[in-house]
Amino acid sequence: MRLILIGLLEAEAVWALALIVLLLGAMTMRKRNRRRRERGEAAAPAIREALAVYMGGNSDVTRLRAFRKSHRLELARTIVRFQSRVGGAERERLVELALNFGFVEGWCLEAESRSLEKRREALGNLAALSHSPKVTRLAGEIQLRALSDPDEQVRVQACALVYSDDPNLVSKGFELALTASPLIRLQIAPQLRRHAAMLCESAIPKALRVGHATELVKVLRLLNSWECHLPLADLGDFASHIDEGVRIQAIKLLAQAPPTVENRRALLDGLVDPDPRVAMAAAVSAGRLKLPAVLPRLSGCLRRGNEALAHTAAAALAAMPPLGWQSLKHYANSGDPIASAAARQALQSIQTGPAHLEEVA
Amino acid sequence: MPVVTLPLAATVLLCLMCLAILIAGVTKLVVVRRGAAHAEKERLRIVAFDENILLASDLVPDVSVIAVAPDASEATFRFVRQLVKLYFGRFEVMVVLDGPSSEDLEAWKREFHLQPAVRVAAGTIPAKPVRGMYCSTEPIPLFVVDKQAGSEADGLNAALNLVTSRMVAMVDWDTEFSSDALMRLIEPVIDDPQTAVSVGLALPAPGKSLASRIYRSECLRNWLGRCAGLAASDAILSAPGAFILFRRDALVAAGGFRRTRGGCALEMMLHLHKLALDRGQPCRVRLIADAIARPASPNSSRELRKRLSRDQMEVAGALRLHRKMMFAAGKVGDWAIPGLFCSRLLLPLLETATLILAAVSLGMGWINPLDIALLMYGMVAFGILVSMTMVLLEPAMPEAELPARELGGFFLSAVWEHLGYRQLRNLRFICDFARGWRIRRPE
Repeated sequence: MRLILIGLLEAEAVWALALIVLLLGAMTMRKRNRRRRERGEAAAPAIREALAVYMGGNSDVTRLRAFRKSHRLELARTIVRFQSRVGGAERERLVELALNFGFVEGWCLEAESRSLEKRREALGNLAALSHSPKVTRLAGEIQLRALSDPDEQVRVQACALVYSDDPNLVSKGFELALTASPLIRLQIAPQLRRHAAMLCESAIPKALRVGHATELVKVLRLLNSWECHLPLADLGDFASHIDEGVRIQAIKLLAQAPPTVENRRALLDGLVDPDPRVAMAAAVSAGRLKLPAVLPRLSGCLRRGNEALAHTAAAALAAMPPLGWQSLKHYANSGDPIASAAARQALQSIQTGPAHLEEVA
Repeated sequence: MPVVTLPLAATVLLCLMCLAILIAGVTKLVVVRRGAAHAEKERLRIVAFDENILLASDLVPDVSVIAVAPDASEATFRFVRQLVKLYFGRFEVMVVLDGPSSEDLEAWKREFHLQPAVRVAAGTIPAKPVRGMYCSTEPIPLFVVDKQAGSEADGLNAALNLVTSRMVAMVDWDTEFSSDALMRLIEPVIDDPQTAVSVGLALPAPGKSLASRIYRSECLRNWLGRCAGLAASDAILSAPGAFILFRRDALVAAGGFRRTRGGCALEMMLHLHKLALDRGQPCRVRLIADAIARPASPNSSRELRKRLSRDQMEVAGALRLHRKMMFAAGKVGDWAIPGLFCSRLLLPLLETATLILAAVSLGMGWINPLDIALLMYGMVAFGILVSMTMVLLEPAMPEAELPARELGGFFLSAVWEHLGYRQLRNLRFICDFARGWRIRRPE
């Protein structure tokens, strides 16, 4: 027994030694990191000051060059931090400085590093400077390749390529938005909005050609989130799709599309859709488009016996004076309890709500 | 046939008990190592998002933070002030006053300028009657509920009946949290709307006192074992000091919170795991390996004892209510529940029994004193080494990087922890487990 115990104690002694070595290593590393951080923090005010002088128009970069040698990392980080705080010519001067000092080239190399942390930082820095065409020309291809990176953060940062005006790069960003997780889609979607018209030329029609309902819903939802005019002349196929999710999203999108014959027909069909959720979406779109042709079917929605649909249709009619209001007055006195209640409520809101004010104006 | 004498039996028994302690220690190390690896992986999954987009989007569900106020003290008011300052789009804080005295109620009204309000209860979970509802006239999203005295679970159920938001958040009163805690917790819910629970927890801030260092070690073990270690097996459970976000419909489907002597979050998480398994689906729980919330450091050994007791009673109550899940409920039944039973009851019992048997053997002269001394030395050293190894796994924790000197102190506290403290803690653990196991009948 004693032999076993001695063996156990020996093993524990080796274990303890190994732990002490690891502890000393960890302590040394932390000390070094701390010292480096403190040095950077101490130099930060002077770096900020030198950058402010440079942005103010002073082209003498001697001091900044000295910082590039002694505090390269801190200088690069401060340039990146300043991107969101300054604008116009000052920002452009900072980008020029980053290019001249070789920071952008360095980040382009690090963006393809094996180290995840380096990739994340490099692409983050490139994303911060992507508003400049000079940077996107240099980094565009790298950002494009980074779109297929296994790391989600890197992919999100690579989406900064949508700031570029290159249709190919923007289309790639749009494709990523469709395949990414909902949270990432939420982040990328607003950035794509300014390219909506360009994307409607080929990328959106291509994405809409997919047959699968789930994918279609994703595309249509993304387009709806932009809430801007989209030159999509015919959404009829989607508005009459077999899947109600697709129909709802497509009919919502009609409010943002031009009122072509096909789109108007799709809206009219949506108002008589057997699924009340689809009809509700159509009523909302009809209220936004204010097309006189939809009035009879919109009035029909009041009589379908569905309370939520009746209220939505009444709200849409309230937004379409004077014919919509006349229709509401007619239904307010009708025998149908659901229709009359919805119409009365809509009429009441006209007297106090924004629709009335708009009409007065 | 060999004759089994008492000294021989004592020696064999003592050796077997020590072997069991060794095996338990090695298993613990394996679990926490897995936890550290999982935490590292989870940390890399954290993506820096633009918070302004999250604030404005309709896709982000609304949240109600519910809490049962322990008293009407300055510290409680300060905590509520911190809650209402959370950085989030659509949220409210609902504080339940569980049978407050008229002076306490007046203090609440004065502090937050409360005015009577009305809200129709959306839920039907049994709870003691509500006597009054108040909302603040200040521009803060605070709603206060005054109800008949019950328990913490009863108060939470009353709040659950009144809230209508999709998500419900809970946080302990002795927790420190960052103002963007809800923003971080909501991300997994947006990513996967089926996520039932989202948990955020970090280590307490490093303190100078031995009590705070020991509490930090306890939290480190909890985090690496109960949170990250079990998260690696999809069986994550909550630990003290966590900020937890639940899906409200999941809480309602579970029938609300059940009464235990400690907190209610652990029991609820086990319940949700059980319900999900009954439905044949996994319970989606995500651990956010980010510094969202952490338990406050205890100022004294009395506070340390109080916190550990509360946690132990919560564990015991939850285990009693869900003991049938052991080995019969997927990974939670195979790992989480047996793991909690072993670490919170069997191991303390075993370690205490080993000490007693060693003392008796020494007194009776059954075993050579040198052998006993070597055995005890080996066991204590093993415990110290296990704790020290865990300290070195600390960088896996969110924002845990201690300065070099603090790390050395934390490392050495493992020695003091095993020379007296741990043995006393084992005794308290056994007593608190027994207290937590005896749940009073619900009113």
